[in-house]
Parts: sequence; structure tokens; C-alpha cells
Amino acid sequence: MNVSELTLNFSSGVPIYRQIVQLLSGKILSGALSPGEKIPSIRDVTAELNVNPNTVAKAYRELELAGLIETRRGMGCFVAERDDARHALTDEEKRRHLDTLFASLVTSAGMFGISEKDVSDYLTAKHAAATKNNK
Amino acid sequence: MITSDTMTAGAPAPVKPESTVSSVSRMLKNALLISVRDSVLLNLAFVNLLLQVFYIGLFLGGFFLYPALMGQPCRTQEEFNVFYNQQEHKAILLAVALTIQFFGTFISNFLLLTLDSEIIRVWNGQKAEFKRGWRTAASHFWSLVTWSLLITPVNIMWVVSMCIVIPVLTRDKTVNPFKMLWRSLLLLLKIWKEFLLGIVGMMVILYWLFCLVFGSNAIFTFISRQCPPLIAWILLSIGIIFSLLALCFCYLFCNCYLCGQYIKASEGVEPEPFPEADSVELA
Repeated sequence: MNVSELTLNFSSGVPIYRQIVQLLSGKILSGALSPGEKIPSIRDVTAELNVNPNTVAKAYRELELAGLIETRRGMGCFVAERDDARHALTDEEKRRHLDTLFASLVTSAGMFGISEKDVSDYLTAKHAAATKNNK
Repeated sequence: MITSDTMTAGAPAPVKPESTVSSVSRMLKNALLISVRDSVLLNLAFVNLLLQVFYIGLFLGGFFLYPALMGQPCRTQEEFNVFYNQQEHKAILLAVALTIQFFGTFISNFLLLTLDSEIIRVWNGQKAEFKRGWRTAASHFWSLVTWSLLITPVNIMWVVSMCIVIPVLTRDKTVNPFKMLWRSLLLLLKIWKEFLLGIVGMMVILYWLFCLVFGSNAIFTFISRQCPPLIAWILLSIGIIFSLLALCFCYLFCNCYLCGQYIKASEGVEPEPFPEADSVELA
């Protein structure tokens, strides 16, 4: 994966570390990045995108906690090798990943002036509609 | 299946939030480290200050130069007042003043953007470069023109420019000056406590630095009075160089702190002055 595939928006108001988490988790969960594939090093992302190493490190740490990537000492960061990484996550890992996704959803919604309650109502309505369709 | 029970059971223990004071003092300390890390930054700050002095000279000189060009050189305050009280000269004076002010503002913003973009590079663990800084500033040419046009009539806006707008412009190519200001204010809202407390902290540090400079200059002046003229001149020169260096350092330090706060606001993570990006540990 090339660093150029990571496009950050400095004027969106969404914190950069969260944008990196969103971009990489989106690529991993959609299958655009396959298990075992190397992701760019902190140095490469820092140099190419002109962001602070701490920011990239925090984004990678969150992805690691969510079980989406793993660090191999001396080699760098890779997409989690487990073939069923998306399905075999523990409840704790799933919860952390949901936390990350929900936080980014709330941040993005906040930029458009949508309150947390409205986001929650929207999700409830969507869930109800999906349940009804399944029946 | 994730239930609310499993989610609550696995929830991490709440972390006590860090106080603003300790966060600001750490950032001030790190800004000091960044200020002394790369000599290119000090040179850039020196060029910035030199141009500011040139601009002030141009601004003040313009007022005296214009009557001379019109064939009515003013040597006294009365002559000066009489000349500028003539109605036909008032409009020209205003136009000349605004033009000089615009160019001065543009140049100082251009150089400040050069400095800020390289400060951010140093915060990010890279080396500062003159050419790259100028290239960055040149790529924001029209943003700088529109912003300078907006702030030219309001002198005090240079503070807003230095503190919040120019650091944001280093990575945002908006040409609309009102958008620039709005985005800068939105970022400032995220760190307003640290920003205000940081200004107090900077003032305390600068106060002690100036005490040191004035104190040493007073000692130099006292000693030079007792010395032969040659040694007195050498001592005075050392004093002037020391004062200039201190002034450059103060200017650089303030900008390093402001850029650090901008990184924190825009990236969501407090920056640290790593010597190299690879030295960051994930664990």
C-alpha cells in the first residue's frame, strides 16, 4: 500500500488521527487491504503527509487495539494476519472498534451540526427498518 | 453478539484527564527544545525580523519621502503637519500608506508562513530547509494576497494573523480570507484554554529572558564606560548581537509554541519533539 492512497483533509475539522483510522479501517474492512499486507511505516506517513509521528502512532495504536493491524517488531505494521480477523474478533475488540467508529461518526455529524441524540435516533430508525425488512 | 452487558464489562477504566497547566508547561518545554534544534529556524526568524524592521522603515520613510518627491521636503514637525493638512495630499497619503502597508503585511505574512511551515516540519521530526519553506509559502501566494488585503486596514489584525491564521494556512489552501478566519477560529475553540494559558506562560519566559538581556546590556554599558574606546565598542557590539539573538529566539519560541498548539488542534494528538519519526513506539 502506498502512502499516496491516504488522502487527508486538513480543512475538514475532523482530527487527522481519526481520519487515518477511518481510512485504514475502511480499507481493511472492505478488503482493499488483504491480511498480512504491510501498511506504510510511521516515518513514511509522517514525511509524505507532513503529520506528527505521535498522530500516526496514535492512529496505528487504535487500529491495533481494534485487532485490525499487528506490529511485528523490527518489521513494521501489517494488516492482521488472521484470515477471519473481521469475524473472529473478541467482544472486547468489537466493542473497541465500535467505539472508534461511533466516535468518528459523532465527530463527523458534529461538523454538520447534527447532535449525538439525532445520530442515535437515526441509528435506531435504521435498525428498525432493517429488522422490518429481514422479517 | 455484542450485548450492553458485554460492552460494559469490557469497558476500560476511565482515565483521569490531564490538567491544562501540565499540558501547557510540557508544550512550552517542547517548544523551547524545537527552537534550539535547528539553526535554519533561527536564521528564518532573523530574516523575518529583518524584513519587519525594513517594513517599519519603509512605512515611516514613505511619509517623509513623499513630500520630498513633491518638491516640499519637510524638516520640522510643523512643515510636516502643514504639508499633510493640504486636502489634495490627504488622499494620496492614504493611498501611499495603504499600499506600503499592504506590501509590508504581505511580505511579513509570506515570511511567517515560510517559518511556520518549517517549524511544523521540525515538530514532525524532519530538518528545516529555506528553499522548501519558500516553496510552501509561494504555493499559498493567492491565499496570502487575499488575507493581506483583508487585514491591511486593521493594524492589530497582525496579532490574529501570527497567532491563529498563518499556522492554519501552512496546510490549507483556502483563498477566501473569511473561510481562513472561520477555520482558524474553529481550531482555536478546541484549544482555547491551552492557548490562553500558553500566552501567559510565554510572557513569563519572555519576561525573564528580557531581564537577562537588559541586565547583561546594563553590565556591558557600565564596563564599557570604564574601558578604552576600542574595548567599549567591542563590548557594545557584543551587547547588540546578544540582544538581536535574544529577540530572534523570542520570536521563534512564540511561533514554535503556536505551531505546536495548531498541530494539537488539527491532528487531535499532542506533538512531541522526536529527533526521528522512527523513534516513536507503538506500544
